Amino acid sequence: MEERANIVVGVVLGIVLAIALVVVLVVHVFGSGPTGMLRALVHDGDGKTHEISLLEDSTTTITSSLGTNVIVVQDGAVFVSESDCEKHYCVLQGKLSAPGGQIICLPHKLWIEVVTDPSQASAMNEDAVIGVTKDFDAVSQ
Amino acid sequence: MPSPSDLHIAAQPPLTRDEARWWARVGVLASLALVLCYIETFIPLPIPIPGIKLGLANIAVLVALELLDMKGAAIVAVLKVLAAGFLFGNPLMMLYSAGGTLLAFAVMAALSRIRGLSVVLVAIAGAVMHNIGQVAVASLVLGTPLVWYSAPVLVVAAFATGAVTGFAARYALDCLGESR
Repeated sequence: MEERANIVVGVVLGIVLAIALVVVLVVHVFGSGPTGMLRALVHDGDGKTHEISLLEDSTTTITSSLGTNVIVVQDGAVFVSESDCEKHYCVLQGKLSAPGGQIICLPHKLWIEVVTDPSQASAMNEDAVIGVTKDFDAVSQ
Repeated sequence: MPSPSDLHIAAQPPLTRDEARWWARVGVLASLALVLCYIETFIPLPIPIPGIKLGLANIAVLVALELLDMKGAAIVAVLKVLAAGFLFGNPLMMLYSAGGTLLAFAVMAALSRIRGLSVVLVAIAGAVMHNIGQVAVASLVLGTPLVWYSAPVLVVAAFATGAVTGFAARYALDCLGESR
């Protein structure tokens, strides 16, 4: 009777674990969602959103009333290659190739995120930038 | 000769030994939960996913579910969230912790009533529900369903952390003389 309880719950948990492992493999090894739909959303300081597909390499210059950033897509990843902001933190923030992260240029109020569908656009995560820029300040000194 | 109407101004009758023991257990287990939270701040996990932690304080909750009735264990869990949140975290973290603990406690309380069910399994189930609860709260707070991407990894991690706390709780219960 007692053994049975353990076995039943153990099996249920085992199934949950198996499902979770499979999902982890699918999501992280094979990429999130059909790559064909991955695109970068660039939100500029004037409130406009530019959509750039991650499928093909491209270079886009985005100018708003606050400044200019050059957004490059290469090999399925997007990054900022040039900017006329003062500290160029946006250039240092690396590349995005999947949903979840953001590249932010605070002085230009410009930020980039990757989505599989434009309806998934979210909001700028300023706290993420503040944490990151602290590291840059420390390194550059 | 004092009449019954005089007795209402007398001191309240003291606690019975059982009641006192009950309250003492609640206090000790709640304090234990806090100390475990503190110890946990010294153990950084090398995994960069937000919300991953050992959940050592759950050991206290698991032991409470064995040594106390549901109400007592619930008090321990609530104190764990509140005090740990104020002492070692911030209001946002407390919100995540509350959501996770609530879900986890509901499941663990239900499972612990099954006779003979191993504490380790209860702990694992609790850890899994705790992480799911945290992701659920995060998706509401951040307003995006994208956080669910991290849910599968957190569930897998919960099996490991749950096993750790489960075995620790079982060891503690064995030492205390309560076999499970």
